[in-house]
This record gives sequence, C-alpha cells and structure tokens, in this order.
Amino acid sequence: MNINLQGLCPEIIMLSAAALVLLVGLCPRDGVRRSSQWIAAISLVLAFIAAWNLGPIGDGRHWTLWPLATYDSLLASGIGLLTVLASWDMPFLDDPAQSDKAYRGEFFAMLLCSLAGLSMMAKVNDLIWLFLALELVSIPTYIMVAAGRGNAAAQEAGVKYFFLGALSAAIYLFGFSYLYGFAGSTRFTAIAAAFHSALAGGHLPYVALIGLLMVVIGISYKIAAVPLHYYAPDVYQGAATPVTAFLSFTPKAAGFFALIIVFNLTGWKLSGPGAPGHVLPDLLMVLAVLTMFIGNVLALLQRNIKRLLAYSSIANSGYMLVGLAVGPVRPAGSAINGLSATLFYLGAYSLMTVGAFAALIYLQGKTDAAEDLDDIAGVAGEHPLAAASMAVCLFSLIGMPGTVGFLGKLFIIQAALAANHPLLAVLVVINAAIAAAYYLRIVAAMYLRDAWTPFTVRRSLAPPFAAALATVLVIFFGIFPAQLFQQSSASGQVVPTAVISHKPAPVPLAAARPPAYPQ
Amino acid sequence: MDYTLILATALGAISLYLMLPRGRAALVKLGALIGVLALGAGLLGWFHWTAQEQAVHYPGPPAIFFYIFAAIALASAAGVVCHPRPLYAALYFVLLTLAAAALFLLLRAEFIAVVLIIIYAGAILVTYVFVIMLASPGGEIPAADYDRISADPLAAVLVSFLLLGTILQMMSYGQAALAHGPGAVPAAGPAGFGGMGMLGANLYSHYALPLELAGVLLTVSLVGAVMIARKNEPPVRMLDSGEIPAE
Repeated sequence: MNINLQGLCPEIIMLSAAALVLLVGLCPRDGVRRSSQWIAAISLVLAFIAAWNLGPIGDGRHWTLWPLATYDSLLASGIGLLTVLASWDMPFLDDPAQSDKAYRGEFFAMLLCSLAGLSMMAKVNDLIWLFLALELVSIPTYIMVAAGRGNAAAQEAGVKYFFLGALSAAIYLFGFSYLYGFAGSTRFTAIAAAFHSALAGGHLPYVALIGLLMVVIGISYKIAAVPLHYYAPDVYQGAATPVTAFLSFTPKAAGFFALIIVFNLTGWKLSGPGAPGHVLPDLLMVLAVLTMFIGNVLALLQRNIKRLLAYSSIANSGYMLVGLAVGPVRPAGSAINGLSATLFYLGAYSLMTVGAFAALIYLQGKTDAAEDLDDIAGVAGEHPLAAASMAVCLFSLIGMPGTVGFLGKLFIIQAALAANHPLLAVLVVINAAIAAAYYLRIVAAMYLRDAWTPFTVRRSLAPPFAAALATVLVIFFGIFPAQLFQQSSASGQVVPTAVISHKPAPVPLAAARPPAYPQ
Repeated sequence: MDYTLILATALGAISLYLMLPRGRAALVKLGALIGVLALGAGLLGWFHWTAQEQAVHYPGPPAIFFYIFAAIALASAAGVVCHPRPLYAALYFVLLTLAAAALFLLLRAEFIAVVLIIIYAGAILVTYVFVIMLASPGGEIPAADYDRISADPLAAVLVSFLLLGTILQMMSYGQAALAHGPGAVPAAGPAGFGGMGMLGANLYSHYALPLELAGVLLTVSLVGAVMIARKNEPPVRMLDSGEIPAE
C-alpha cells in the first residue's frame, strides 16, 4: 500500500489518545479519570498542529497526500476540539453535580475514534479502506447516541440511528462492490483508470453507473440529504445535545469527503451534455434542490430547537450538494469552483452549527431541559453573552454579511453561476430567504420575549468557551476569510487519481504456493 | 437421462420424507436404511459419470477423504432437518459446515474453507445457538409441537428434491454446454489464487492498514457494547472516595 506513516500522523495521535482515554477512564482514582477530557482536547490540539505541518507527500503514483487530505485533517481536529469542549460535561451523564460516580470517560474515546475516521477520509486509496473509514466514523456515533442519555427518546434514537445506518452502509457497500466489479480492483488507481478509459471511449457501463448511484444514495444518509434524511429530526432530538452537536458535524463532513473522493475517481468528467453518465450530476442537482426545500420548509414548522437545527442541517447539506453537483470545473475568470465552494461551506457550516449547539448546551443547564423555543425565551436578559454568541451563529447560518455563512453562500452561488446553472443559484437564494424565517424565530425568542422560567445554566466553563471561540471564528473568517479560503480552494483543485496511468502492483507470490500433495 | 442419478435422488427423497420428525420413531430407521441405499445409488451414478466425463486428473489427496467428508456432510445435513430439537439441529449444521469446509480444502480453496468456518460456524451459528438457548425451554420440558412435527414434509421434500434432481442432471449433461455458453467457467486465477499464502501476503502488504483499522473498529464495537449494556447499573462506589457503602 506504500503508506507513508508520517502522513497519517494526526490519525495516529487521535487513535493513541483514544486508547489512552479508554485506559484512564477505568482508573479507580477520580482525579485521574477526570483527565480524559483533557487528554482528548490536548490530543486534538496536537493533531491539529500535525495536520497543519503536513506538506504534500508522495509522487502521485502510490499513496499521495493532497491538499484535500490536509483540509480534512484540519477540519476534523479543529472542529473536533470544539465538540470536545462542548461535550465537556458528557461523562457525568445527566447531572454534573453527581460528579464522579457515573463518570463515563469512554465517551471521549468514541469521539476521538470517530474524528480519526473523519480525518483519514481524504487519505484513503482503496475502496476497502474507504468503507472501513466510513464505519469508523459511524459506529462510535451509534454508541454515543445510544449511551448518551438514559431516557426512552434516546433509546429510540439510538436504535433508529443504528439500524438505518447499517442499512445505508449496506447500500453504499453494494455500490462499492459494483465499482469493484467494474474496475476489477478495489484500488483507486485501477478504478480511476477504468473510468478514464471508459469515458474516453464515450461509453460508461451500467455497472459503474449503478455503483456510483448506490454510493451517492447510501452516503446521503451520512450527510442527511434527501432520499435518506428521515432519521435526522428524531435522532437529533433524542440524542443528548453534545452528541447532537457532534452528529451535525462529523458524519456530514465524512459523507461529503467520501462523495468527493468517489467522484474524483471519475475525474469529474460526467457532467456536460452528451457526456456518458451525465445523469448522475443531474441527479445530484435534483437531490440538492429537494434537500434544500424539504429541510427549510419543514424547519418552519418546528418548535423544538434541536429538531429545528436538524432540519437546518438537512437544508445546509442541500447547499453543499449544489457545489458538489457543479463540480470542480472552473470556467475562465471565475475565482472559485463548485468543489472549493462546497469545502469552504463545509468549514463555515461546521463552525456556526457547532457554535450554536455549544451555546444551546450552555443554556440548557444540567438536564438537557431547554429544548422548546419557550424554554429559551428572554434568555438574553440574564445571559447576554451566550445569547449573543448563539445569535451570531444563527445570523451566520442565515447568511448575514460580515459572517462566514454569508461568504459560504456567496461562493456557492458564484460557482453555480460560473458553471452556467443560474436556476440553481436562484433556488439557493430563495432557500436562504426561507431559512431566515426560522432562524430569526430563535433570535426573536431570545431577545424579544419575556423569560418564562428561571434559567439554570451549566457551571462548567468549557461549553461557553467553545461557543465563544466558534462565534469569534465565525466573525473572524467572515471578515478575513483568506486562510480558510486558501485551504478550501487548494483542496478544491484536486483531481488526484484520475490522471494516473494504471500500473497494477504485483502481488508477491513467490513463496506463497501451497506444497503439492504427495502422490 | 442418467437413471442411476434419478434413482438416487428418488431414494433420497423417500428416505428424507420418512426421517422427517413426525412424533413416531419407527419410520426413522427405515428412512435411514433407504438413505444408505440412496447413497449407494448416488455413488454408482458418480462412477458412471466420471467414467463418461473422463475427468481431468490433477495431483490431489486420495479420494477416500472426499468420500468420508461427503458422507459426514450428507448425514449431518439430514440431521439438521430431521432432528426434533433445534439446538441439536444447529449443532449438526456446525458439523455440516466443517465437513463442507474440509471438502473445499480438498479442492485447495483454502480461503473459502476458512471463510465458511469463520462466518457460518463462527458467527451465524453461534448467534443461532444463543437465540435458541434463550428462546426455548431446556431440561425435561418436551419441545413444542412445531419443533417435534415437521410442518409440510411432502411438499418440502418434493420441491427440494426436484430442484436437486434438476441440478444433478444439469451437472451430468449440461456441463459441456455450459463451458461454451455465456456463463462459461472463468479461467483459473493466478497460481496460488484462493490460497492462504496469497491471502496473507495481501493482508499484510496492500491491506495492512485496513486490517489494523478493522481491529480498531472491533475494539470500538466491543467497548460500545459494554457501554450500552452497563448503563442501568447503579454506579460503583469507589474505595478511595472515603464513602462507606450504604448497606
């Protein structure tokens, strides 16, 4: 496989820390067990530094690290750190005041494993590895949902999330098997070469098309996009709020990176009239439009904040799918293509949604009580900073100028226009307008209404710190987007595997023959 | 038409019909006797067939191993469907899997043999046995009616042996046609294909990292199962916290 282990440094750090957390979480001494949050947070900081220093590795022929992989690792460790801070109290189950008796340090091991899976998503070079990385992202999240909270809603959410997740895994595994059948190998170089020659011949076999279709449909579960989006509201509502914050980021990012990687195999040559297999980008556009509209329209009906944010997460997947459907083809004179717009939006979305959830966690107090709009009515008077950071994140989700969400939507619309899809751009704008209605309802409840009940907030400092950090970054990147833009546009240029000529690696077999049976 | 094969199939059908549990013990022995006759007829047909085909001889283990394992497989297959107690039927299925794996080993299909044992005997059957032991009463309580008496023996035997007969006829007559048709048998893989050597070399070279990842995944699932299962336990009191247990 010719792996350069140096390139996997962030994942190795995260998985080692996960193992350490598992050990520490079992220690009989309370003080030692309490250190598992710190281990998780410090390891993610280290992983972020390691990812930051990761240069391009490889010559493009074997295992190569593209800017996309660096961006992926940075996102996984950076936003991952925010989610760790937001879920600082999680090990205490329901009540931080109970302190150490019900301490569950393993929670952070699950979280780290899932982040490690996300971080290696853009580094895979084999279908089997891709599948295992996707499962490494998913399986810890099933556990986190089921074990996060004791009540019946959490049980239901856990069972629902697990079974539907297994179903979606079966669907994309089915797609992988067809891609394997198409190329005769699970290696990305071989699959890309098979697509290259098939597309050069102007004919794409149905096997490849069905394989890609199944992959898109299966992964649409991970990103909560339209054919498989039904689970999202129930699971987001049932899970403990820190877990919901994690769910809104990690599986979605993993799904988008997986989709980008799989479409990289085709060389993004499917779109355009007359191209064989152009039905697939067309389908992506339909899915994008449906996802945006269903997410936004159904969000209008919600009163539960977690459900509302679940539909918002569905709608945001729709925006990102627009960029994906447009693809990395960049017309002359355009500064941005669809892929880098999607990647930029992914970073922006992660920041603002995790920030909003972190503020919600802080406001919810000890028992996950505040879920309805009434529960946070008038909260701005008593906790102005928390309300302000929530409001900033929500304004960013709306797409207010001055926040990173505005730039994200702007780039997506730009990319759609540059690639000559004006209708898509118009639909994105219409959806942004619809979305403003329900985000503003939360803001209005916080600022314009009178308090309904006395508030109990978390005493731990980490969730408000996460909310504040995310808010500052939302504004910072909204005004100085250069750093995020550079990263995402560098990663948006890649067409890694498709240009590589296929040279199958010989399987070492010299000593592998079984001895002949004695006659 | 190959009459010995037809005879063997028909005898096998009658034998299985008699052996299927019906709450009476007397017919089972008669069924087993007819089953042995069916086996003999099947062997005759087999010799007839191989003589006709002039089967390709390749260096392999002595044929006696094939007959031993085939007999074990057939007998345990009959045990699976005929034993009135589900747990024993499941254990017979384990035996059947092992015998079939041995048959694959004789063909040097080591990978399939190992996978058969790991997946069927190791994973699926263990789950079955767990379910059966959880669901069915043990000890002296007689098994339920639906376990002791097979539901529709005649239809089941007819359908399955019609299918078997058709497949056997296909194998003895259709092979020449199959070799040139659209479903032609693919050419043999590279030397050592399907063997342990190739599997190991691949697992620890190209697939080394996915192998490690699978290990991580299994660990995560294991820890997760414990996490979910222990949720409702009362918290364990720690000795160094200075508290005395309430009892």
